[in-house]
Amino acid sequence: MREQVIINENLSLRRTDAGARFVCACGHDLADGSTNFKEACAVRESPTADIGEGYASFAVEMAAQMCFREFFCPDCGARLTTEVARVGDPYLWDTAPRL
Amino acid sequence: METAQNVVWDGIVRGYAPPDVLDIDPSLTLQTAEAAEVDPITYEVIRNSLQNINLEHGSTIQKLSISPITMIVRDFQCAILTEVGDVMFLGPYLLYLGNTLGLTTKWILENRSASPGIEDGDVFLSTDPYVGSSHQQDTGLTSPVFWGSELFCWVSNSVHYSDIGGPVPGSFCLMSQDIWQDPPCFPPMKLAEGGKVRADMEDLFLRQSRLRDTVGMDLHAALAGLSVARGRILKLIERYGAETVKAVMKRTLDAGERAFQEKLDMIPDGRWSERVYTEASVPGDPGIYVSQINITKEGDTLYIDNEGSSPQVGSINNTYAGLVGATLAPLTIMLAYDLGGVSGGVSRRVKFRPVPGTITCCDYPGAVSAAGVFNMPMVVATATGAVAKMVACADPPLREKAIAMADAQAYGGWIFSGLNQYGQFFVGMSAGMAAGAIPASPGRDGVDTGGLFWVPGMEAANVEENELAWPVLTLYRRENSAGAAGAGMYRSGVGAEEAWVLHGTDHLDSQIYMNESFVKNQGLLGGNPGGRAFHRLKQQTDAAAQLAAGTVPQGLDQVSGDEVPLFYKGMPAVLDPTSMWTTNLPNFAGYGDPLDRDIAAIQIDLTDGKLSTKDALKVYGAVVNEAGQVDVDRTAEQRAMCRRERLAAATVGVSHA
Ligand SMILES: [Zn+2]
Repeated sequence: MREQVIINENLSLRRTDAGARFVCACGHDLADGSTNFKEACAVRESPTADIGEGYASFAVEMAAQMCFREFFCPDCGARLTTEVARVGDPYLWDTAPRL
Repeated sequence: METAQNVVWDGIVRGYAPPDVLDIDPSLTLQTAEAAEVDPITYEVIRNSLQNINLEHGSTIQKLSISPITMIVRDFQCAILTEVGDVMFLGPYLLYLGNTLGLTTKWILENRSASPGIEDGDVFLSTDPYVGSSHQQDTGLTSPVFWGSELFCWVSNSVHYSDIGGPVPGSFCLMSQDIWQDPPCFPPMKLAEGGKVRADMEDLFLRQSRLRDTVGMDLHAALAGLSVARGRILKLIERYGAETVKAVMKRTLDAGERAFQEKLDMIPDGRWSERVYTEASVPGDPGIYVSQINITKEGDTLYIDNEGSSPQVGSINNTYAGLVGATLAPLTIMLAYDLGGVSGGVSRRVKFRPVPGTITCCDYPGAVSAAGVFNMPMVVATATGAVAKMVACADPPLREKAIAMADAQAYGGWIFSGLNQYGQFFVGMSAGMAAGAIPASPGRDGVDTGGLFWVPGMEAANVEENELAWPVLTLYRRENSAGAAGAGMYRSGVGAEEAWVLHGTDHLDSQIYMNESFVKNQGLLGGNPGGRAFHRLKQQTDAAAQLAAGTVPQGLDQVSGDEVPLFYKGMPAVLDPTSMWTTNLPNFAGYGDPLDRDIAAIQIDLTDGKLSTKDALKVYGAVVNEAGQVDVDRTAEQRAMCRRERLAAATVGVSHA
């Protein structure tokens, strides 16, 4: 039986007295293990062109429909995950391991 | 294979999903008996012989074909399959084609065993993506190997043929709204009978092509590959007996399944998904579409679905065969890397539950000819994201085998046609970008221009080989820098850019060029996505004058002229003697928070000139002093400030679910 699932250096799913919880390496208790942890994150949504050099294109109307989302631990600011998405689309529930 | 209920996955109205037990005409006798005992040394000799036979099949195709895409780049696949069409050995070539050969062979067993029958010396040809190819150009040949009167096994290959007809040179029909605007689609037919090629069937296939001679030569290279593999297998059976060789085949598959199972045991149950956005169902369409792959792991089985994918539309579709091949490719790389191409055991533990009528699993008559450069890399990328997130959750050391996403435009495709320097019509597929980039993994950086990981044997053509084959001159080919694109705690390898002018002709048409409107990559678990793939064109340049004066332009911005705005899928672009153009295959995906990147790794990139001081600060929060060294203390302060700034700019608790 697993006590935890390491998802990355900052995020893990841990067995606790309160059931499976998504936890940040800083100790912050993020969310219930049966939910999309992204909902509990601090989220910065920006134009894809702002990611850096080379991301901008002259097809500005197409690019304007898209965004770059960064999901941070609301306590320590670690970037737990990212996604490129169409503006207004739901956060993708993409990581749902079970203990 | 498990699929949704009450739909006919017959390879006619819908992709072909074979049942677990095939419906084969009783007139065909299969060789199934296997020796009860095989000593370990004989086992290894036979197993390695089979693997080498398949490699020789591949090298035969490579040596005899004349299209650079096959001869140099190795954009093909070959396989040995069991008597019921389970893929046993795959070559180190284009991985997603592997399972397409299995599907085509199984369809033939079910649909051709009664009429016209399956006999010794037959070769079936199929271009039908609803039966089993990824798109029509990836034409499959599959041939039964008989021992006596019994069907012992199959040898198969799939090769990309330069032009197989249809409305546009190269047969990638971006304007297609349905299969009737695509190149022709031939369900499996007998190209050879009794060991002899049928002239009528060969003509039927070649008559469609603008490049009859080239395609004919490549077709005979593929036939020769089958012939070599078949002959070697018969020799092996002669020496060791059919039952012993069959026992080795079956046990190798079982061992492959067990090895895969051991990996699955290291992964918790759960569900993982990836979503990749694409655009332009046909040129001019401003729409945005979704490719989504979801993996549910329950015990010893993976269930794959594509729920969330957009309804099928225009020319941006792939069939069930494409979905299966594209998903098995990253699974093979991340969870069957130690099996030497024995993939059949893996697919036993992978069940597909596809949603039909979608761009990632379309129904007839959806158009699919463009899938080879658009959907297939896109679905491989999507599946890679889902598999990587799953594998990252595995127990160490398996989690380090996760690998982030290569680009949805991983071919960096540029397809062009016209008269070459010898006055002959040609269609070129530039795969100079086969140089690729290996994306990041948990625990390590990717590899700069490390190739395309789902075509392990792929090689980039030399500039000189391209210049010999096509009327072009390469001005430069160079690696990208390691800036924001693909950044992370572990960064992607960098991609590369190439620039050209015409040489020896005064006109070519660019049929396909990939200038993405927005980035289509996704970073892995905190990493940056890969960069945007771009293709730029300037007309009325002074590149020729600069060359005449002894200067080789080293960037599109170094020549005068007018940049032509190229859209992701535009109409053919005319190249003339004043044109200069570049393709850029971006860096692929990074892994983890860039602010967690090791300072020593940043220092190495700075010292190597791969990372600018500006990007070190902006992307990694690393403060570089005047001596070019990362200042450890100031970097710690800077990173703490970056984290505070992130939270100040972020919103908490806004649900998008
Ligand atoms: Zn935290």
